[in-house]
Amino acid sequence: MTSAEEASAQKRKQRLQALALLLILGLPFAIYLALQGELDGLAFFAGATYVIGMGIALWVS
Amino acid sequence: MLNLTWINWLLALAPVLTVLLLMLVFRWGGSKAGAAAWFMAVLVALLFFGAGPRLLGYAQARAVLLTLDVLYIIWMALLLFHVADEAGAIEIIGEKLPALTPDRTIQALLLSWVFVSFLQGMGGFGVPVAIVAPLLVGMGFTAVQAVVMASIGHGWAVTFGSLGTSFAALQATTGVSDRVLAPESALLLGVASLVSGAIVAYVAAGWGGLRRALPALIVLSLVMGGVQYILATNGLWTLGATGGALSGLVVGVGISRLPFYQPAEGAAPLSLMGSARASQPSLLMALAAYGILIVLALGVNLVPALDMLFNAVRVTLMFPELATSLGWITPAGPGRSLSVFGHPGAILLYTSLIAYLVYHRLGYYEDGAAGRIVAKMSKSAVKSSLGIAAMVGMATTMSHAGMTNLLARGLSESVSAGLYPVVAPFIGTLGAFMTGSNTNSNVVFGLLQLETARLLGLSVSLTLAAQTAGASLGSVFAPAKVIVGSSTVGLAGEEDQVIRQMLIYGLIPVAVIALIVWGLAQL
Repeated sequence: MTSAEEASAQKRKQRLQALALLLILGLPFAIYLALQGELDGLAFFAGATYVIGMGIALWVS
Repeated sequence: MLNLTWINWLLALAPVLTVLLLMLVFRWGGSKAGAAAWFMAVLVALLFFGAGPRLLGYAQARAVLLTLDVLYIIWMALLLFHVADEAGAIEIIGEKLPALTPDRTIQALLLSWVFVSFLQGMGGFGVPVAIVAPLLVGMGFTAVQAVVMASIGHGWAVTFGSLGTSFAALQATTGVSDRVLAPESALLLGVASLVSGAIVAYVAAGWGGLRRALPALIVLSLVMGGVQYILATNGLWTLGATGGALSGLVVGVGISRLPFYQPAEGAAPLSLMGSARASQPSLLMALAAYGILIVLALGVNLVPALDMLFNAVRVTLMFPELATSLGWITPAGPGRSLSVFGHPGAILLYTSLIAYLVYHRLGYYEDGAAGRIVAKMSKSAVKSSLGIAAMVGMATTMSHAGMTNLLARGLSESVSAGLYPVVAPFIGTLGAFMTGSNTNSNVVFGLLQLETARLLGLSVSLTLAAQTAGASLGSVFAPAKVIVGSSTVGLAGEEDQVIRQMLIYGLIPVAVIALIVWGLAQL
């Protein structure tokens, strides 16, 4: 891998980590609000996306 | 409630074992291992502890409040560090200190005990060793000596360092207030400062150096430990290590000028670095950013009108009672409350902005400094934030599912109340060793230690102090941190040499603390 490719891969990894952090820090509020409003479908969707966020953290870190 | 059997106990331990195995054996980073452990915690909670999706959802919401409380400090502490670093302030402090005395042991102590602790107080996160270890190599110490001294030297300053992040995490996780936790924590870490300093002196110059440095060691550890104790027990725990180490710097400069430490029998006073900067801060201006922080923190904490004003806006969420299908109940109540404008993170933000304006006006920044400050802060913060978020999520899931309680019940039934005070600091050390962080150890094991202490009828404050003191001392020889320190002195790939020495020297202060905790528990 050339240094330019390495730098590009590193940048992509950092962006994915930032995305994972945003999902992990943001979605619990959506889950909370959905559970408070008894919107089970929305809570499930937010929860599933949260799990994806944690999966990204596992994958890219 | 789930029966306490070996299988159930091991299942409850599985997330913690996951972190341990992945970080120690497979050498995964904290963020990756934390995420894997979170998956393990959720699976075990769902399959074996009767936690439903609703409980797990609320647990993550509670976890994110705890996480934000800690991350607010981490991000802003990194911001302040890079504001000072980009202006050349850190470089100047590191350059001026060893030039004060020709005594090699005192030079080593000033840099790798006092200054490194000051850096831990202000920033932490692996930065202190990364800065100080190359300076020590420049003074003629071997690379292994440099990493060992800089790492061991700041072990006492981690809990109340990084603007009290680890101490905040302990409070957030256990719900025990700073007033209860601070006295014994500060006492244990004060004693640890003397032991850490003695080890630095020994590694630097052997028994002869240690004997020669003994007067300085005693005076400086009394000053640093004493000031940290006074600050921590008076609500200023965010400044505990900073204030202690800053006082140590002032007194240390005075001590280094004493005739006893001046005869030129060792190396001559050193000037380590030349700077290519057009405009450099003086030592006083280099320390100005931290002076601003102290003034602001004292003002907000000690002036009632300012305290009320800055802490007027608080954010929290209310949580309903939650129960697993096996009957473990988490009572209803508010989550962690965040003071938006009076939080230690907010004080750091104000300090960073003022310091940036001052340094900018004095011409200490080169072009593009603001962009570099933000980029460096983000780069270092995102990965550690992921690790903390995942591990807090894991710990909260475990406590909501009754797993932490089961672990505590197991410990309380297998370790006697007489022996547990000796074990408690080592649990903190183990947590920090495997996660690379005092904060993560407090998050993972804080509740466990609390519940075990209650079940055994031991002092909660002493047990939690033992937890955080053990974690503070253990965090400095965690593989994750050793790798960072080693990489700055050309030891990348040869970290095993450092880890072997660190395990020997690093466990000495933990053993001393364990004996003191045992003694205090007998009173």
